[in-house]
Amino acid sequence: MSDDIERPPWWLSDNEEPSDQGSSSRDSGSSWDMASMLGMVTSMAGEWWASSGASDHAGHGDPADHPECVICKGLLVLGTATSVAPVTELREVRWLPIRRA
Amino acid sequence: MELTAFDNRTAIRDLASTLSNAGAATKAVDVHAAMSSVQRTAMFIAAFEFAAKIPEPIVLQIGTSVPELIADICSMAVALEVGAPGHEMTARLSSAATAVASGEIGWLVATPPEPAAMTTVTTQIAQATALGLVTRGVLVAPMPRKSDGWPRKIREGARERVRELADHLFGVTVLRARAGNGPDFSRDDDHLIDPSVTKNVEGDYLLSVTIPGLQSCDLEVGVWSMDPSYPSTHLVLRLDGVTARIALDPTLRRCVGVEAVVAGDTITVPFVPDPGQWPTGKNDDDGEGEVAV
Repeated sequence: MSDDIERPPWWLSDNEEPSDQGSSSRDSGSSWDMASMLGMVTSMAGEWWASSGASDHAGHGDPADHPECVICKGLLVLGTATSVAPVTELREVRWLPIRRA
Repeated sequence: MELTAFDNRTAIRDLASTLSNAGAATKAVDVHAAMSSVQRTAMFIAAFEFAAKIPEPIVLQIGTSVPELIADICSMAVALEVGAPGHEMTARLSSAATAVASGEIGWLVATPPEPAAMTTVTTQIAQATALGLVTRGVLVAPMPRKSDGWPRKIREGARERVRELADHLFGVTVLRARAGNGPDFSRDDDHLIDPSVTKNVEGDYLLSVTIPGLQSCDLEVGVWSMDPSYPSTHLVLRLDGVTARIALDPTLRRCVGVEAVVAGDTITVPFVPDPGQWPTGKNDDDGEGEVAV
């Protein structure tokens, strides 16, 4: 086996050990999950954004004239939502004091 | 199947529109997060409705945080039930939320034997349990194998981490891959939150819930009412930013939550009867003040 087999793989990295092995995969051990999740969500939103035609919105004037544009549609919906009060207000959560036993 | 296979523009538009009519869109601060949340929720509804049409259970792969997805579904369902009752999308969303709470949907979590990933899984199991999601188990894979040349120290370290994870998630089935093969998980392994109510000598009611992994979470406990007739209809738990609501039974709805006592993975909330919710007996024809609950 080669020398690098003595080093744990990235998914076995130990937070308590200093990351001085010069391996970028080891260095990213504590944040890989968040980074990959963010990447996935961003990619998903990006694809949806591109396929929606939203990038064409810059040339649109009155939102009502562009029902096919997702941004214009959103502006119209938002205008409707803000002009009409919700049917019922949701009540606030009453937070309780916490005692550790 | 991948969750993204159910990306449906019409469902996203309908859900966003209904939420807007219910007043929810006006509260959105992070537009990107709100858009992603609505998109994920719409995909989940589409997947749920697809699964309902076929007799065999389907396995859905979800690459993002499952508790956050479930929390979004449950929160949006509550928002629509209050703000847009009777709407078609409200019914569709409520059906999916009910299926989650009734144990029809099970969650199998996979994680490598890496400390940061296992900490994330511990937190997510606690969040999912509070949300009422059935956890079938945790699969730890891939494990370092001797046949692949991994030294004994690394192999033993990985196995020790699996044991630690099982300790932190007491009550949840935690199994590791062996010889490159995944273990079988069955419905017998399912773990579901099981709140219990007892009455102490002072006449107060004690609601207790045990949540595996609770000790690794930042915790807030509160009460909330979706019906103005009662002081509270739900116990609210916020675990590392994910909010879960646990419905209170008819007795506790007529009581007032006092505090939260936390011991290990267990939360106990004393509820004191609200005098305004309980007849005193003074005006009762039969002179008795007992109420059947």
